[in-house]
Amino acid sequence: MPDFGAHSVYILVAYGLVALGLGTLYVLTWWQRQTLTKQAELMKAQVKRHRDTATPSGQSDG
Amino acid sequence: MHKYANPANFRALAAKLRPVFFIAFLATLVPGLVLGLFTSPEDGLQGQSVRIMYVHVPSAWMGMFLYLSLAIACFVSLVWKHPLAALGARAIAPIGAVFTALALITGGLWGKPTWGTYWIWDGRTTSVLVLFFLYLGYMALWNAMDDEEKAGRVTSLLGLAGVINLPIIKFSVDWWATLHQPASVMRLDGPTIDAQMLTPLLLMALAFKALAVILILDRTLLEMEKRRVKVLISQLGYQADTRADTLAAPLGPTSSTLKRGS
Repeated sequence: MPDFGAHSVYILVAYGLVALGLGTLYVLTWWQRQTLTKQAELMKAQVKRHRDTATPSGQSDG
Repeated sequence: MHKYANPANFRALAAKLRPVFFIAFLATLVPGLVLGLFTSPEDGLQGQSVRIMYVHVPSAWMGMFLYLSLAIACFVSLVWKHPLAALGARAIAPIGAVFTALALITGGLWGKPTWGTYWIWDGRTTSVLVLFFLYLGYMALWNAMDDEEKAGRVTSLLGLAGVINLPIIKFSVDWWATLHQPASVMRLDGPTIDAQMLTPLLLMALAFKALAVILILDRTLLEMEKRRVKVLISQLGYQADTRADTLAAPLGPTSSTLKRGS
């Protein structure tokens, strides 16, 4: 590994922050998507349940 | 083009493109990092600190490129009312903001050992800071409005107005006397930078571009999910209302139920 000398701190902090910034954005996006997809599936099931209970047996809700 | 406004079609397209860009990202990032950090020479004047260039310059390029993409999406959304364009512009904004913030921070970290200061109010740094605030303003405006259609129109106008800042960033180093160095890659007479430094710089720029495409695809899918959840919430609200009306008037539907049901 080369010796970056007196500039080591600046170089390492710069590369570290870039990795942290882009990594955080990627993970946050992935996590938000997972959460929303799960929420949407749950709500879809809830909508279906509401529809089923709102329609008395033997009748059609159109 | 309109066929990709269909969420299922866009999801299928994203699923195909994602691995291609992920491979491109790794294939350019690894050699870019190895060449940039270990094998490229140090600069005669700046010494080892020149290695910050390999993350600073691609971040700044991406900040500008993404704003141009956002403005094009805003234009398409305003003129052709393409539903995916508004979502795409909204998806691009946080990615552009992060790249611009990284360009500002790494610029400061490069400036300290070379200029002797982290920050100076010169044409280039100030116009890039304005770009960062444009991204923040665009996102804040989207979040401040409940009516999505209206928010889409207003934010598109802001997005388009902000394009004026891009040539200011590009030519700021020529128009004003600044500490920031003039362009050394994107010049009409060709790059003035040595090939040993240009190669890792371009590889890192390609890596950042591939990552940006992956993030745009992911965030557009995220915006689609947000919209889907909103629709489901309104459906649930409607159904709860309908049930309440039916319970309150068991002999027949109320006027509001009829109106909504029609």
